[in-house]
Amino acid sequence: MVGYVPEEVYLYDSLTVREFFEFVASVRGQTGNVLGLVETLVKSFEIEDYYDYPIATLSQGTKQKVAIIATLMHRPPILVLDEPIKGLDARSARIFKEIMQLHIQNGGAIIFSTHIMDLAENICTRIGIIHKGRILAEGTMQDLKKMVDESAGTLEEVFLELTREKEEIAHIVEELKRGLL
Amino acid sequence: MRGLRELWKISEKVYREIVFRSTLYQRGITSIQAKDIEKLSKQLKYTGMYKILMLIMSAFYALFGSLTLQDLLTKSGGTELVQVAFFIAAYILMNGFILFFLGIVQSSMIFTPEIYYPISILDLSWEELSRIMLFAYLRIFDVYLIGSIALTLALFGFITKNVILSILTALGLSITYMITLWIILYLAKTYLYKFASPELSASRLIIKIIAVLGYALIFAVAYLIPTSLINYLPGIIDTFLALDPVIKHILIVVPPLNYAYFTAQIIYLDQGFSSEFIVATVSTALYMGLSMIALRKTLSIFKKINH
Repeated sequence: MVGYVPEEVYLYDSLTVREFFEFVASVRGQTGNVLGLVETLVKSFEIEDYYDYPIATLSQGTKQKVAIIATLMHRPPILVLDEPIKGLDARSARIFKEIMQLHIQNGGAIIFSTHIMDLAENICTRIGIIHKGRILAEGTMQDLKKMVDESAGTLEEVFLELTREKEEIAHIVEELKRGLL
Repeated sequence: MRGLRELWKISEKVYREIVFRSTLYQRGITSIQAKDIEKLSKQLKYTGMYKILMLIMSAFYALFGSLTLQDLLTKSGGTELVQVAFFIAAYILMNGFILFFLGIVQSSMIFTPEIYYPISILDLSWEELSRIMLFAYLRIFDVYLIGSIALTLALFGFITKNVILSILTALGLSITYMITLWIILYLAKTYLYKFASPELSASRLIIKIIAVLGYALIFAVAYLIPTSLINYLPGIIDTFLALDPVIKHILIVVPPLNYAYFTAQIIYLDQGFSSEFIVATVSTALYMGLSMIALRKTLSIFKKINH
């Protein structure tokens, strides 16, 4: 039902990538056709070469890709993702964004946390802004814009307005200019 | 809810990871290169060999134990009951001791996030997750645990031709194992969690020393016990019998001597009952009760593993 990718990825290092996928499939009771989807995802993320390598030998980015594939394997309707593109290279990050879009088009839902404002702005239908552990605002991009200065064009600007960090940043920039120039 | 067979199968991978990580930590994770990890990962497929060695060790102890016991049972002279009691106590204690040292390092891994998290995010209920972790824990000991009990039952029965003796000794082993398993788990949960952290090199060193000492002691005991028992058992018995009756009764209360004394008294029913027998019986009942509490506590730790 739910697929979850944590920020800190923990996988079984003693298993190879192939064994890990087989293990996840067996725990979820998946058979046969799942391997076709795994193969497609493995090729998309370019990790075929590591397929028979122990997970312990992989880089953090590759482990992140393995975790993402393991989450998508059973086609869960709901995805819960914590900083999903952290550690991914530009190519893989782009592919993952496309996968997220396809998931939404197929009627799926995604709940994810990110510090990358562009990602949230481009993908999310509803956005919640959390600052120092408190939800400051929640709604569509249009709703959020209405909450601040109408001139705020991007989610980043909305965020800085809502968290009242815009003036602080302007002040810091002034000081930097004086110090560096 | 998945069946127990399925959960046992899933626990195999969890156990494999426990073995892998405990081996890495013992070697010092930071100094190991990718090619070493690959080699180690391949070697893990042969953990069954290690278990066979454990089985051979338990077979050796059971064989030696039954032969010595057979020798003691044919003796007479008034001290045979105490000799049999002391030998059974030594046998049970030695097996419990081996179980402890075979499992303490690997058990320290079971509560680490690296072991628990990967399966906690799969579609498993908390109950299934608890059972998988319990099974993974039991896999650390399975061959030695089942092997030593089964071999004790079989060899003691076959060689001494005394079925009651073999059943009671195997039962004594089971009771001691239940308590030992809880002690290991308690230590792993309370103290040894910190040892799993790679940055605590001093702690890792301590656990290495414990492991090395443990293995050294096992082999020392394997060599010393046959020699000791043959040469010194009569002397030990004489000293015991010469003790003040109060001290003697206090010693009989101490597990597993209480259980062993109770067993020996059952074997030598024809020698009549003594006050030592009453003390041994009462403390054996308490010992059995303690083992039940230990079992419940062990299960309870796994039930609460998600908290």
